[in-house]
Amino acid sequence: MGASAALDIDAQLMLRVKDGDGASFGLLLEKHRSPVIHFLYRMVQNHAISEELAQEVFLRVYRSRSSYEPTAKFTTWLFRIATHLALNWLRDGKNERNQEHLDHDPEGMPRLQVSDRKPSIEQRMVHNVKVNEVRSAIASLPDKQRAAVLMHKYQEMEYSQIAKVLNCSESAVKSLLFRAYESLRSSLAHMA
Amino acid sequence: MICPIENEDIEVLLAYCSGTVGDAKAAELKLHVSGCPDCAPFVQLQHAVWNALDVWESNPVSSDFDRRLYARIAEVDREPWYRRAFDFVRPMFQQPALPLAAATVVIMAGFFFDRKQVILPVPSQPAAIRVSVTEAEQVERTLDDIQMLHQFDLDSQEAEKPSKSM
Repeated sequence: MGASAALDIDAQLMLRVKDGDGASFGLLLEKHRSPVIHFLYRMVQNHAISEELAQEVFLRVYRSRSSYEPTAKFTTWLFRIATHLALNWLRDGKNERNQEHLDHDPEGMPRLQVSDRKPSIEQRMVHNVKVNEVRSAIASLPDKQRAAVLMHKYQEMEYSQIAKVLNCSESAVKSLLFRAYESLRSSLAHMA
Repeated sequence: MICPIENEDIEVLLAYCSGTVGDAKAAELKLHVSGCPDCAPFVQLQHAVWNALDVWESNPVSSDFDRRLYARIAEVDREPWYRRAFDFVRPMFQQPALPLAAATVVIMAGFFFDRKQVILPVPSQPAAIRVSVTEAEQVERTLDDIQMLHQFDLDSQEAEKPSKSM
């Protein structure tokens, strides 16, 4: 019920964008900006690149407004564009970049939230080590497995939706997720 | 309950660990997992992975993200009509078949013109190379001429021999 309602709202907004309503595009951007950037960030593991790719995603949405038809969920279409761009980026420059963005990207480190209870230096270090281990484990996954896990875990997408985004069957998604979680279980077992 | 691992139904265990199964099913699985030597370690590790992934938070979005995006959108809106018209056919070019067909046509055209072409000097080549190619051709032609003259001499000498003997 919630999903279909969400489909209606987003698709209706996009249809209004198609009719030239700029404000509806603003609402779609407001709603999906963070999920798209966070997904792309976890895919490419570089904050600047993820924002650059997210700009391209929303620009493509805007450019495609005149030919938009609500044949699928809006988020499926949106994440299909995002995944396509991220996979292309990874494919085009993986060898030169993967070490760089994992090891020397200071902005890739999580920014600690300012709160009343400041974490101690030791807690920060432990936290950073954990985050780095998770990032490395995710980065070591094949690109499609990585995309599937990120959509499953962080976007809470169903298998059918992930299948549509990745343009494969549901059983292929199950297989991707099974293998991905198997790898993660072995690489992150010590965190149990 | 049939053991999900024995039944090769890992999917249900993954769903259980991610909290996406219904309450009744979750309770049934919880009971099974607590006494199953195969499922218990699997679930423990999968929970560990799930919790570890929660540790990885994403950075906040840059404050000027929207401004940069709308600046690019304004550029798109300023594009001439024929560029915007291309947006209609853009999805076609995103399919692999069309660019592949276009590339094939270009390669075929290249072969076609290449076969028709005799020997054309390459404009980007340095002058020295072009001269040396011409010189080589001249030398070859001269050698052919010398050989032909030599042959001509031999023939004429042989033609004179019978007349001398007479």
